[in-house]
Amino acid sequence: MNSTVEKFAYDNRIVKNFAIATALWGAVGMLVGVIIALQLVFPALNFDLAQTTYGRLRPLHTNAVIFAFVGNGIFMGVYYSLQRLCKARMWSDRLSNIHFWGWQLIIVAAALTLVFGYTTGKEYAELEWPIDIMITLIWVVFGLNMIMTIVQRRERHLYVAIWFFIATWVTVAMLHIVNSIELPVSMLKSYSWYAGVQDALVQWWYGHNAVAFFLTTPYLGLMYYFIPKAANRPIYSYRLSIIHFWALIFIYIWAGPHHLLYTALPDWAQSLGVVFSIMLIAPSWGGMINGLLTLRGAWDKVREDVVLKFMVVAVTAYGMATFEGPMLSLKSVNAIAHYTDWIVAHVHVGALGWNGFLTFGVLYWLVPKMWRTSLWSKKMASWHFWIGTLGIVLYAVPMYWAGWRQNEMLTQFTEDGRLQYQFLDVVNGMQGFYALRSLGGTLYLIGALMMIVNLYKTAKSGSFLANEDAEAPALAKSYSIHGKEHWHRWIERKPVQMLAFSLVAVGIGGLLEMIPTFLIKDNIPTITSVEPYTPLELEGRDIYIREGCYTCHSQMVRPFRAETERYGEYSKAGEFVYDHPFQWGSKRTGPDLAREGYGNNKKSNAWHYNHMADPTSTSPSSIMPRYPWLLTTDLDTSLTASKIRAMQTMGVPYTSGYDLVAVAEMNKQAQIIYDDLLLQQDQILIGEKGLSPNHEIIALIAYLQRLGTDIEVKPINTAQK
Amino acid sequence: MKNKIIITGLLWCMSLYMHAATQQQIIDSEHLTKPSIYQSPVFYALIFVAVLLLIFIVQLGKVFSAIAAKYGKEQSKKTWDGFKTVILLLCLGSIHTQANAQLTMPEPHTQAMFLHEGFGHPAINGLVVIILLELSVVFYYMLLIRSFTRSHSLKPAREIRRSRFWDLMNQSVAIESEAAIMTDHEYDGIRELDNALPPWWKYGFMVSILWGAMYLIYFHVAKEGELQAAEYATEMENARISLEAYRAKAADSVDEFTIALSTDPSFIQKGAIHYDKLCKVCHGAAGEGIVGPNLTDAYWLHGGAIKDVFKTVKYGVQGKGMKSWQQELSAAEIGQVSNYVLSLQGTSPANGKAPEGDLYSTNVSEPSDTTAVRDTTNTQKP
Repeated sequence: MNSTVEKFAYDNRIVKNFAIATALWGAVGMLVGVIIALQLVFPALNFDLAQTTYGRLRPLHTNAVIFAFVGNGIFMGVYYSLQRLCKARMWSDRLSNIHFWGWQLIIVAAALTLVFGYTTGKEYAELEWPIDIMITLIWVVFGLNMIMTIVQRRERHLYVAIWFFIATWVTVAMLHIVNSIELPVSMLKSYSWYAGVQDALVQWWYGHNAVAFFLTTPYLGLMYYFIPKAANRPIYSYRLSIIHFWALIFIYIWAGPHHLLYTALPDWAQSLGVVFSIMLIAPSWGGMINGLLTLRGAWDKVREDVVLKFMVVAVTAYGMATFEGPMLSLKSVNAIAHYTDWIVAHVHVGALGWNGFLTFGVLYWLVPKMWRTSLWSKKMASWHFWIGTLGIVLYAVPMYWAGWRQNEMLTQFTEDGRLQYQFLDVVNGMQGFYALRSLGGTLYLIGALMMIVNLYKTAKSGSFLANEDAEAPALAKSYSIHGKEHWHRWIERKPVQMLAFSLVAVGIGGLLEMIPTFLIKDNIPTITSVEPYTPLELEGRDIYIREGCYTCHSQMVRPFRAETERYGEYSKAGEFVYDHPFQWGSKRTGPDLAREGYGNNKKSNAWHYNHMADPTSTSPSSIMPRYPWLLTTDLDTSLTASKIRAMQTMGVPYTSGYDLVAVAEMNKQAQIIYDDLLLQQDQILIGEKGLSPNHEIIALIAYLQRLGTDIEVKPINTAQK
Repeated sequence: MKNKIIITGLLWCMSLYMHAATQQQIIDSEHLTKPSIYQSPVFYALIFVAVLLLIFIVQLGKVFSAIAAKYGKEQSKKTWDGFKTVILLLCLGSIHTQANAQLTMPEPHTQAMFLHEGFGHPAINGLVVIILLELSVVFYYMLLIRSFTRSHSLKPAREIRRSRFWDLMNQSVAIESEAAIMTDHEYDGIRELDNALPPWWKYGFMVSILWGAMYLIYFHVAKEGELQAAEYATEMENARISLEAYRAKAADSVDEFTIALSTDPSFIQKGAIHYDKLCKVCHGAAGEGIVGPNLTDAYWLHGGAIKDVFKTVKYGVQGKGMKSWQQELSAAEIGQVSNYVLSLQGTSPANGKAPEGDLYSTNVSEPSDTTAVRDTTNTQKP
């Protein structure tokens, strides 16, 4: 054995690159978060500019913190730990570099396209198809480099961290590809292949598991490496690792429908979402237990070591969020919390607590290590810890309170059966909460900036070791088992089998939920009166998506008295069959729009015109941004025909040849709305370039007036019994 | 094992109650068509709690025997035996009381009342007794464990109690003897212990799976639970019933048939408050009309009599941009607003919007002037 000791060096340079990217993108993502938080308090901060409105910045914030901050954090941790756990340098330095620069290019491309309004309108998957392809390619580069490093390892068995890395890689690949199937119309415009309920199911299967396999499993892998390293304690329980790993990846996938409780998703799928979420508590907590109990006997260190402090809070936040998540999946709790700021609080406990704090802990541990020095200021790091913790508390508490209050107000009836509050009353009641929340976010950001300074100073004071020498014997070709071994040791020697088994484990849940929803017709009962959008409405819908209206407005009336009284008949699955993509939304900062064009919610064209020009003109104290550019920009009709053709390809029943007359039909409908507005031109807030049938606002009005009009609604107070 | 006896006892109690409850249901079905106890969520919740506590007791029992074994206390066995007997007697006793209670059936109508709420049913009472028993067992165990760890610890009490409690709960091997469970794994200096799965975690996981199966069976196989459409229907029906009850005794019941013009300035002034909050964004501060029509002229789209205005405010005009305000305003308030609106007649504010609709005159019956009747919401498809 010792005859074949090999000398090699770990690549620290790639870890350094990812570490710098993590810290910088983290600051950017958090800064955008603070900006949009402030926009809800001071709507003037939207600056009346398309590129800086809330609807476009909010996807920028989520994408930046998830894919840029946490994404780079994952790669930093994987590149550092994988090499050491495999006793091998990364398989290819070139692939490492392609991965790094490719990922940064994706981030820049994402930031630019989102700000300029190129979006698919699917939450956390907003990026348009060319970027989706880039992500796929770079993900393959990462996977190839990782798998080949594992194949060339000098360590017989794979440590639990690597199981998580493998499962992460294979699952994210699956999620990203399946959810991103879209039909391109142009270089920067595409439509989701799925429609309505099916699109919602696929999207939340993706969205939920992006949380699972991008924000959770890779970070559990990091936890399994960096906590025992930092605490110098053995992992608490090997068999707990095994059970919770397999249970976690198998069960997590099923829980996606809990994002769609009480929507038009079939009941059986909702119930699966509920029960698998409850079953997920223990597997999630398995990770927390193994992390916290690894610190048994090292708690005295936790008191002094800032790295461990960050990690303990991270793991605790993980435990809280993964208990709260299943509770939120109970239908009765979900009825309260969904669409409110409670969910915003919940995800930020996960993001700020678990992902943020673990990343900070790892950075504080890695930088002194790689620069061969000690931390520049322990005191400053400790301040970061306390400011960050205070930031989380000041963020979460007001948001929980706000969420509870929103539900309370929106469901309150007077004795004589009337809704106690208008939606605007609720918006008005939120200012204090939103202000406090932005303060919490600002504190958190200040902490992160302090860390950047501290780490920069640390790096300056040390000398970076780009190639860390190491040596280990090569693996012998054959392996014989000595004595009795744990049954799981077998697969720990077989990375490819590990990958295949993981894929099977994560594949089952998705398939069993999607196939029936796609194939069995009963799941989405047809409504014959539902018609495809007119070309003008379709263009209006694309504007709605471009401006990110779905970040504040849902289009899903749930079957509750408080909602049907406020918005009208509850939404039916059959109403969404031509919605590529669906726009149900996940948060109601503004009211639901599913029946905006129908019944009691219907407003005049002039109302909509004024409302988009200045929301406070029709809804005093509204916090919605103004959209002046819609009143002056001509609608781009160059793609209308191809959009109709794309819809036809996906089965939307326009008569054949309709694409050729689409623009003419569109102009006709626009003229009607224009004529109507013209009659009231003295009363409306016309933009600089006057009133024109060609302006984008006309298409948007057509779309809004269309919403919810497809079904004949029976009076709601007829009891169904 | 000693705690097997008590578990068997408790399980037996529970099965007996289940049996009793079934019997009860059979009797019920002969007399009543009210929902059975099996439809009561309380019943299931209590069973769930009872099972959970049972598992907890098993764990505590294990912890207790571990301690007893460690300290070799014979005394503990004696205490235990006595305690065991008491518990069993208690169980049996309560069963008999309950069984007897069941034989003497309450009056059918009181029975029905109880069933409606789910509380007060013998099966529920029984479960509550079981849970109380289980809680006392838990409490007793805890006291025992506490007294043991206290009397036998040599190290400072505070620290020991904390770590020992968690070690016992998790069945961890003590740090001093962890070499025994150290695996031969070593990765970049990271070693792995092989502690047992924490029992509360393991059984909790099993219970969650069991709960999942029960949930699916309850809603989708037995179809006992209400799915969302049925739940909605129930909610609306309940609202209708309570609303009817309210209306039956409500005094404030003015409507579009009974409303009359008011000359009371304070009454009209109350309407102004609502007007400012809700109406002025569309009809203008002085009623001059913005996106909504001018309210100060004599032309009306939907009638200018007080009854017409009341009706328009109350029900809105579907599809025309005028929403129904009966959700926001009470009947009395609609009366105030309608009167305020009519008080604006002839005030001719600045920037008044052009007339829309028909001339309304209190003494002319024929529809006179036909000024532009327009639809301000037309988005009709070509």
